[in-house]
Amino acid sequence: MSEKIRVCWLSGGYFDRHNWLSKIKDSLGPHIVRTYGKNISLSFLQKEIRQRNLFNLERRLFVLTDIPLSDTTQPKTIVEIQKLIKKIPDDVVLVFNGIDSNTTIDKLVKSVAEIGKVFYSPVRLSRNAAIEYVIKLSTNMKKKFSEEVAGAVFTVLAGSEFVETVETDRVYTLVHLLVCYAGKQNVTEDDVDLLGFSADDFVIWKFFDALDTKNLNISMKFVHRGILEASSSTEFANSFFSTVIWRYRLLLMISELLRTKDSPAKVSEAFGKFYKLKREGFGEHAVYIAHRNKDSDELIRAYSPVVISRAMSSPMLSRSRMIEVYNAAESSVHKLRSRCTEAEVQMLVEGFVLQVCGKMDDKLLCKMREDAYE
Amino acid sequence: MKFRSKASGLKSSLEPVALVAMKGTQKDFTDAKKITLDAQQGSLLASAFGGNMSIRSEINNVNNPESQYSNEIEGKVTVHAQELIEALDSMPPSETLIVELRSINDSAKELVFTMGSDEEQFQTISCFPADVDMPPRYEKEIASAKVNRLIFADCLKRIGFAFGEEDYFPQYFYWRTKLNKNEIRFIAGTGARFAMTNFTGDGIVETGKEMAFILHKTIMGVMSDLLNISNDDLVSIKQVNQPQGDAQRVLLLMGCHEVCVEMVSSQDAEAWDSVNENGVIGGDKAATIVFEKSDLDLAVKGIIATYTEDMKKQNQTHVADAHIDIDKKCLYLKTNTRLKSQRKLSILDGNYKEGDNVFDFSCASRYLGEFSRNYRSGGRVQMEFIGDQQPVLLWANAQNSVSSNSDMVNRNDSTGVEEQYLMFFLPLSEASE
Repeated sequence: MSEKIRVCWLSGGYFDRHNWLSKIKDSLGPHIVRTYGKNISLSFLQKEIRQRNLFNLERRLFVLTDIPLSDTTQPKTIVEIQKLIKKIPDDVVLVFNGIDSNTTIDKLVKSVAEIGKVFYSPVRLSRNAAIEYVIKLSTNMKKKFSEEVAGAVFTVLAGSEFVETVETDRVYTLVHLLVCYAGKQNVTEDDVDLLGFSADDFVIWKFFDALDTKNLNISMKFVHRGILEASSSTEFANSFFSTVIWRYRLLLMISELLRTKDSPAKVSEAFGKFYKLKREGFGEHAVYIAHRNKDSDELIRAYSPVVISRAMSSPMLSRSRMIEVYNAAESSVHKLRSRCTEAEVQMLVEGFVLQVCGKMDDKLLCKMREDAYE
Repeated sequence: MKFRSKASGLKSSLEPVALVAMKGTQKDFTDAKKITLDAQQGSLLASAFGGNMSIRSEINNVNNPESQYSNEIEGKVTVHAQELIEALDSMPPSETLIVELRSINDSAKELVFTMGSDEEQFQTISCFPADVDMPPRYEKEIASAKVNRLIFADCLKRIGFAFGEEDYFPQYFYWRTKLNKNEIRFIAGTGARFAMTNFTGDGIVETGKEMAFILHKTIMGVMSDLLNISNDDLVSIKQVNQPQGDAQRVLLLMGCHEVCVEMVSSQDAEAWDSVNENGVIGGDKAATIVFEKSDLDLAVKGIIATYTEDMKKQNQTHVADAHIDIDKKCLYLKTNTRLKSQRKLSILDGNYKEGDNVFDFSCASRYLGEFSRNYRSGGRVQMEFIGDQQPVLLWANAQNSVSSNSDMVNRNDSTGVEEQYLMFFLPLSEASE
């Protein structure tokens, strides 16, 4: 970056902004970075930029991830920032990083473009743009992707032919993953199929649909993606089982109520009388009381009408099947709460899916859920 | 474990140990708030370590005759510092206490303080199962000095406000002490603004060679308290090597107490090498003016009054602008916020070139407020300008006319000790359009 450029505007995908910021830092030599987000005042920023250090003579890089606050309206604040960026001292570089644009902020971007540099990358890419981006990115990573492979990256990430654009950051992540995975080999479309996944795979309702229909392939794919995405298998398993338990408990309650009440409307009305509980006190002194809204003092419903209507509209499973899934999840949670290695957690999740899909022997499963340390 | 000791003597000996255990400790440090007492035949050894500072005290009838210590059964116990001091505080000062370790059951013990004159009256405190894990002692002494205790404590008061607050510059969380024969200097600052105090006088520092060390602001409070409760005229200071590694530690010896400051980062110590206050003080000055301190105090009050609560809530910075009118021989200080202030200080004497513009500067108004508040003595102030966008120096104890640095002293006629007080800061930069 040129020595004379003291203001930059970075917008677009996270990885592109990160790379540009790294290049700016590299060009500065020894420097101090100060990053400010929300809740700094404009006058504070003005003072910090103008206040040099007596004995530390490194250059200073100010990174702003939000527009500073002031006691006036945003347009007036922007005018003040426009004045500020024209008076940046020689030892300072000011970078606006990832600030959402609007018509007022666009005026600031224009001012930055006049005296500094604006780096822009699109947040989402169309098919052609994505193919171009993948090829360029892979070349930068010293790996050659064919046009077919680049197209496969888009197809896998889009997940459906109706999706026209994909997020730039997801393309970046997948290309990076593929380069690391392939090593010295060429990246193939099979590699893309193996490592890529569309955002749709993460919709838990789709997983429940697969589980209800005992579709092992899709269910397994979902849990593998979930484990890959989470910071640890345990973290994924905890949220996974609690969601499963919550859903099947709700379905069981609906089925019970449908057996005793006349109509779905009455069931829905009955659910309206379930309120959220709040714990007060600990241990043996714990008391559960109805949870009230702080503002309106109204009781908070345990299940919203939308959730109830959605649950009632899903294809109703047999009662025994629901109990089967519920019990499998409950026993998995008991195991999870004891000591579990990462591998055990994975086995537990996979075992659950296999059991629910009817592909695993119950005796083997019980053995798996026993505590190996006892 | 069983020993006897006079309540007042035992309390005064253990107070510094409790201070180190309780104050300026590392957050959630395991051994914080604990004191280990080791009752030996001739002495009671007390030790504490709060993560930042450690203390070892040897209490006996030689070091502290008021303790009237006599041992019956040797033993070691670790107790809560506050419980210990509160138990001792509740006893009549003249009472001889019988201090005994008793078992409550197979695993728990308690320390019992019984009045020697009336064994029906007693206090108990709980005991910890593990002793304080003290850091290893030093291996090598690098330098040592003896410093007048009251002057050391005074220096801390003078520069205590000036520490840095920003995580970007951890080196400015420290102050630097320089010791030379008959001279002591303390300096602390934020990086943009520094405060310095310099004392000179016969016998205030006894040392063979120059000594400089930095200490962290976290321990300033506890160190100040330790200096204030000590009875010694002189504090012995030693610079010692860490048992492992090359970082230096600082040891303070006060009576029967050996206090060791453990938190000196060698990286921050190196960063302080670039702080060259002598370069700022001793360099050529483009201009110098003298005015009354009382004028400055009132002007600064006016300036600060425009920094409203609303501005503080919005985390806004308050800036003061200074302008010197040579013709009118006035220093103008003003703020241009929603509330406005413009104040005029008469220049008593000046040394400047006609037409020079180095006098106009802007700075955070709090710098002026800090100088005004933290050096309460009246007299005159000498303001020195090195040049455009260069540091501005504010000397307390100035003369009626422009004078050299060595003349700007506050002399204590009874002791002959002279004090210099100075603040210097960089004005806010004015970038070219």
